[in-house]
Amino acid sequence: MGRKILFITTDQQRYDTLGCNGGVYSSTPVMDRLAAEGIRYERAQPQSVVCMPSRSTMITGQHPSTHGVWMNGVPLDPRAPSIVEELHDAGYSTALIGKAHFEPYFDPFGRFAENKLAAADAFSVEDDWHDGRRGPHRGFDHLEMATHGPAAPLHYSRWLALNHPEALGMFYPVLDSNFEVSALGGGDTGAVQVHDNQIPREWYHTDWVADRTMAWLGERGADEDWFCWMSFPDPHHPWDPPAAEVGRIAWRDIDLPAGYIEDAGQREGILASKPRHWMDWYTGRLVSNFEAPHDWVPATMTPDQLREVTAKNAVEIELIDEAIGRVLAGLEAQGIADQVDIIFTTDHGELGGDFGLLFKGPYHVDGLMRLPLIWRPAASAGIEPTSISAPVGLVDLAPTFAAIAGVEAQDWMEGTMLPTSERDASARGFETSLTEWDSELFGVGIHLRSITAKGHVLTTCLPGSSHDGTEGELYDLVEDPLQQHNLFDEPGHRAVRDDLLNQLWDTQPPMAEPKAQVVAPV
Amino acid sequence: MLGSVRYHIRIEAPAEVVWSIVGDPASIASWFPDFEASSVEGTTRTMTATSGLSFDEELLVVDGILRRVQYSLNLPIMSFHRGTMDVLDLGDGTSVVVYATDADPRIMALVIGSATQRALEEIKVQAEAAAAREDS
Repeated sequence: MGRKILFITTDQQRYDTLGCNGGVYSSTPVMDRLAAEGIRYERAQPQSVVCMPSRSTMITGQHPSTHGVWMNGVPLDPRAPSIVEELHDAGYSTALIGKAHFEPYFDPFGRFAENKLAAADAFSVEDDWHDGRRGPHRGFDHLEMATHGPAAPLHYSRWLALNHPEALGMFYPVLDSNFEVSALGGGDTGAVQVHDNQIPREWYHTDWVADRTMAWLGERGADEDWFCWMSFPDPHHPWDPPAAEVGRIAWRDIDLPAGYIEDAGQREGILASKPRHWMDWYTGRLVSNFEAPHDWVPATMTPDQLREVTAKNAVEIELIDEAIGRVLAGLEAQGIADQVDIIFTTDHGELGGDFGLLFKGPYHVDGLMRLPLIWRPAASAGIEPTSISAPVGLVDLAPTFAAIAGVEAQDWMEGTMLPTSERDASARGFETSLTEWDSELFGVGIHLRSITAKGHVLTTCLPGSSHDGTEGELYDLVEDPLQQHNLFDEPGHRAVRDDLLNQLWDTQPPMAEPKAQVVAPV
Repeated sequence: MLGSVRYHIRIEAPAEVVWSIVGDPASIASWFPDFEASSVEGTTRTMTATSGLSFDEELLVVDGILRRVQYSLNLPIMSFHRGTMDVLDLGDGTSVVVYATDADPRIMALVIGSATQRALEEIKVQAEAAAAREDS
């Protein structure tokens, strides 16, 4: 019998939203306890700051340039390597419950497997594997999927339609009449993507994901090895948690986030010191793709609107914490809690008011790039609780799952098993992490390459519709933790910049050829 | 603003061979992905997808001299659609096919247009096979 693996992900969650990471808005006792009992990573980085590329990195153990999902709307090839296929081969029962998003949601012609399962009342389908064999889609025996509401044709939508059809219209309408990400405001302040959702908590997708996870785990035998990816769609926008839960955090009483610069002149001065796509988005001249509402102008956001967004985001995080607590209590009741390795993280962060911005996009700063990551090993692993400051990446998850399961790391994996101590990190050379951005759509093309090292983060803007290839960003993470002082062109920091650029281009994988096609907005 | 996407493919076959495939509007289901049937009556082309979805298109241009096809997809979710295919003779026994999709809302240009690249790949396969048959 091996070690069981519970992989928990959220969507678009900032590092500083957990109590154990200094978060002040949400109460997260369950995740704080996992951190106290395990390893808390202080500098975990995504290899992309949007969903599909980042999730593809989790399952393949590859950077976006290698797995080929270079922006949202590019489907991950079903024949891409998958750690889940390796675990399946090793005898693990495998499930993903919640948000998958390896394939586009906007799929009116029904082209993608993820969007076909629920209508077929199915939980997996046979597909090609990367090694030429056939098996369950991406290695999952059981796919039971949800997203941020009932719009996509997934299992949660179907469950809601069959059991609680009156709730279908309670959610925020994520797309407008032109199928663009909606800029509709709501709540008390008219904040973008905020909505009073009258759905009972028990029907909301957070609790549904936990319920379905508990049901699947409950069917597993005591000696069965399993890998269960419990994937919460929240706290990704829209911010529409069940209205009955909203009162737990009063938005009027909370402080503005530290990264929000209240003085508009100062804020705009800082934005102007960054590459031009920052100010262009802030003023509404540019939306790089479908990561943010097309018709929303960040400069119009009021402090109270940000407070309300922050509070609703915090409520969603508390609901997730409580849902995880229920699942862990279930494992305790089964008597197997100490046999399970639990890894918690998210796919990317959220700007959360930093520099007056929300959502995500081609902005490689901590709001989007510093992620919560906790590994609570099984007791049998004998790994001591600790925290680790060395940079690690989501690209390191697949080899970590392999190591936990006793499966050999594969040549196609570009990361390595997560370090289990600061000393281990130092010995195995965890010194940098890479993050990529590429988007090309309707005449707008932005291409960024970033490297995060202990102490600095550097981004170079490659030629595109907004940049000529000379722009970039360099921040001292120790002296300037909010990344407000761009050192890229300062002569006194030229040596650091050039050294990081050299390290970046020494390690950045080339883009896979042929470049995969964008087939949908998201 | 309209959404506009465009793909092209180089084909090792003369333009007239490529046009024999592209210029027959009723045969589109034989090379356009995810469609199992197509038929033409007058200027109306009826398409049936493998998913069961069925809709009509209006044929706007079928010009064998220009080697151009243009059509418009009639779906209530779109206020405008224009598909344009051009077969260009490169003068050396090879050709290029350009397939453009314009639509409002712009997202539909992306979603519909994404299938046209796969359509071009299938046209290439069929045209090069036909050219090889003619050569042999």
